[in-house]
This record gives sequence, structure tokens and C-alpha cells, in this order.
Amino acid sequence: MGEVIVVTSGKGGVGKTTSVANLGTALALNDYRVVLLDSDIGLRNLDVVMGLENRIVFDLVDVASKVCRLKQALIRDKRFNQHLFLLAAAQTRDKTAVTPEQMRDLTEELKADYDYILVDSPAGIEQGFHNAIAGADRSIVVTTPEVSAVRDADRIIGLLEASEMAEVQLLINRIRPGMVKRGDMMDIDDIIDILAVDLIGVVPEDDRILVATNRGEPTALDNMSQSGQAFRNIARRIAGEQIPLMPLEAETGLMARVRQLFGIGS
Amino acid sequence: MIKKETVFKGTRDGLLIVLDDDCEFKEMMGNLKTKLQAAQGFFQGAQVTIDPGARKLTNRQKKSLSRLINSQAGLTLNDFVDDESNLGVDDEKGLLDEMDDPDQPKGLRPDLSRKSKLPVIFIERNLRCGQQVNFAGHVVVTGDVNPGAEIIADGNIVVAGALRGLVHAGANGDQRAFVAAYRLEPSQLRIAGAFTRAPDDESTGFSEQPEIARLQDGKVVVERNDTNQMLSLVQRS
Repeated sequence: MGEVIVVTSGKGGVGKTTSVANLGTALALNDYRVVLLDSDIGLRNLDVVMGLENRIVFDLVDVASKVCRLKQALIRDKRFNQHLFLLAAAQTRDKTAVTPEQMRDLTEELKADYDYILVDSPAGIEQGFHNAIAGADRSIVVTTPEVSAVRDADRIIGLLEASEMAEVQLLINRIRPGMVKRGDMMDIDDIIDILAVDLIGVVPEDDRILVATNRGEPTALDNMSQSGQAFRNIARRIAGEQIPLMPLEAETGLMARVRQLFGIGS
Repeated sequence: MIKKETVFKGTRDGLLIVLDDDCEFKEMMGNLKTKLQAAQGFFQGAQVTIDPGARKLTNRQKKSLSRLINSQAGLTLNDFVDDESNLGVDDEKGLLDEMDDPDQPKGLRPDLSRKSKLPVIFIERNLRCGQQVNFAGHVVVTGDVNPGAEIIADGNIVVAGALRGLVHAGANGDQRAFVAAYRLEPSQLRIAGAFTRAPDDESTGFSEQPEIARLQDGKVVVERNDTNQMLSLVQRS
């Protein structure tokens, strides 16, 4: 029996889709059978980030309204040999095209065959959010070290607690160790102090994410990337392993020092 | 509405006794007496209001009720609820008008101690952004009140964690209301008609001490408040 994990945030642009793509990739690399479920109907992009856009035939709304069978709508990612599948959102419909009950049934069906179902939630607290959390067994709230993102994360955690979500864990994305060191950015303790939930991991800001997203290749596949390493660690924590937080080091080297000299942030 | 039994309720005005609809006046008086004696001392100092329910009371019956109540140690009969004006319903609304979010806990615990007639609500968790508590009494939070959360209370507000949201104590105009917190860092703090907000200048910062805010000559004054005193406030409020 698998587990349904919703990845949500309240605020947009903090890295929900990137996190789902990378965590799914990392879990599949560890031999778990994974389904990535994009619940952002009308504004889908998990398929783009995964590089699977041109293979969509059926989508979430088709499955919910029984136009096709669930199996027909699952897009297999060939890179992962029967381990990673995507269920895309419909692009031409809106959030009301699916109900929380349909989502519950659908995730229940997926749980029978797969180890992890990662649900990519839309931004906001309206129906799309309620759809996304409907079938979830646990949740990961993504935030960035900004006051606005933390505020929205707090609101979302309140809503998750109110809907009796069994587990709420926090993923802090896009942290810049250099800025934290200089006191220009909220640090992990500040965020935990306000949100008072378990931390599942911290992902450093990484330019490679942008490149990887454009290419449709998650950074979790890139052994050289710090963010990829962070996502792989989080995936192992999701699976129950005890992995210590990776030490985050400020950017060093000549270029960084030159930039610091001229006062350009790293 | 037919009620089977005489019921005692705590309200913002003290103790409300709702009389049994069914039985004879005499029998009801007997029951009430036993109940009052069983609860002896518990309601000390309470102002009592009687809601006769569906029953029409004669003046004589009112008198004997009044004698019975006043004969009990510490109780004073205040008033009868007039059935025409439906005061009973209003009272209850005021008492239960607590939260917007249906998922909030219903931890209503009226407190009728001598020092205060207002009921107290305990919120035993963190109040997060977007969550609001409206309560016609004192509010005690055993957790944090995060930025974006709101508490509006007719009485005092005591927070055993960090208070970073918006609070309004004495919302019905009570100038003696206070706000106490283990860390008092509200984004906005109102007491009765007065209001203050967090300093714009971050460098002034907040003190790392438990503090209490009260009104003094119409202005909000914040002073240090050591932890022991803080706990006694929780008990008292």
C-alpha cells in the first residue's frame, strides 16, 4: 500500500513543482514506484518540468470523468524503467472540473499499485488546494526564506491542521547561505520558530535548477548539483531514513570574493 | 423548545439557570435546591439570572425562587429572563460567538471565580495566519499567536508563547483589560479604544522578557512581567 504526499505552499513560485519533479525523480532512482500527480488544472507545468509535455494524451480530468481508464492516462517516464509515472492536469479546464471526492478515489486507486504518489498542489487556498489535499496521507509545505512565503506557509499549515492532516513537514527552498551569513536573509531557525513544524530538508539556491527546468531534466539526476543532492537527501528522509542536514556553505572562490568586493550579492 | 431538566450555564453576566419545563413548580423547586446544594461553593459570588423557559412564573413563584437563590451562600439573584424579549437566546449567542473557523476547537470553559464575571476560553495550540478568535470573555492561548492571526476579546488576553499577531483586549470598551504574553511582539495591539503598533524601526526590537500591556491615562503602557506573575495571571483571568 502506497502513500499519498501532497506538496503545497500557499504562495506561488516557491518551488512546489520543482520539488515534486525532483523528489519523484530521486524516489524513483531509489527503486520506489512513483506517480507524480499534477493537480494544477488550467496552469499545468509539471509535465514541462519533467520533459513529458508532448506525450500527454489523457489527463486528470479525463480520468476523473471516466473518459479513460487510470492506467491509460499515466505517462511512463522512460528514463526510470517502470518506476516513474506522470498524471498530467488538464490545460483547457479549471479547478472545478474535479471534486475532492474524485481525487480521493483516484489516489486510493493509485495507492494499490505504487509506493509514492506525489501531488503537486496549485498555489492558493481555494478549491484547487482542497482537491490536492483530499486524498493525501501526509503533506510537505514548501517555503522560501521570505516573509511573504513564510506567512502563506503558516496559513496553509493552519488549514492542513484544521483538515486533520496526519503529518505536516516543511521544505525550505532557495536558501542562500551567503546571504544568511550576512544577516540579509531569514535563516532556518527564524522560519522554524514561526512555523513550529518538522523540517524535512533545506534546498540551496542553485542556478542549475533553471537550466534543468528548461531542459526537462530534474537536477536530482545531476550528481554535481548541490540542490540535486539536497533533493536526493529529502527523498531518503521521505522513505524513512535518518539523513543529517547537509552543511550549507557560502559560495567561495575567486569570483565570489570579487563580487563581494564590488558589493554584488552572491 | 422543551427542556427536560433544570440547567446551569455560565454566561458573561454570571450564572444562568434555565428552569425545567415539565414538572410542577414545587417539584422543580426541590430539584433546584438539591442541585444548588450539591454545587455549594462552586458558584460563589455569581450573579444569577433565571430563565423560566416555557413556564410562566407568577410573582409569588418569583419571590420564592429569589428566596431560594439568595439563601445559597454567595449567590445573588439578579434578574429573570423575560420570555417575550428572548433575552436567553441573545445571551447564549454572545457566549458562543467565538470563532469564524468551524474547525477550531470548542474549548469553552466558563469561569465564575470571584475576580471576574467573564467566561474564559483556552486555546491549546498555535493560532496561525488567517485564524481568528472572537470571544466575549478572556482568551488564554497556550501556544504562539503568529503574524496574521487575530484575537478580539471583551476581556483580557494572555498568551503563553510568542504573540506576533493582532490583538484587541477589552473590545467592548473595558479600559481595565490587559494583554500579557511570554513574548509580546504584536503587529498591532488594541485595548478598549486605544491602539498601538509594532515600531517601524526594526533596530528598537522587542524585549526578550514576558511583558504586559495595560491602559494608563488612555495610552497603552508596556511593562515587564516576570514569569511567576504571568502564571498567576493565567489563573486569575
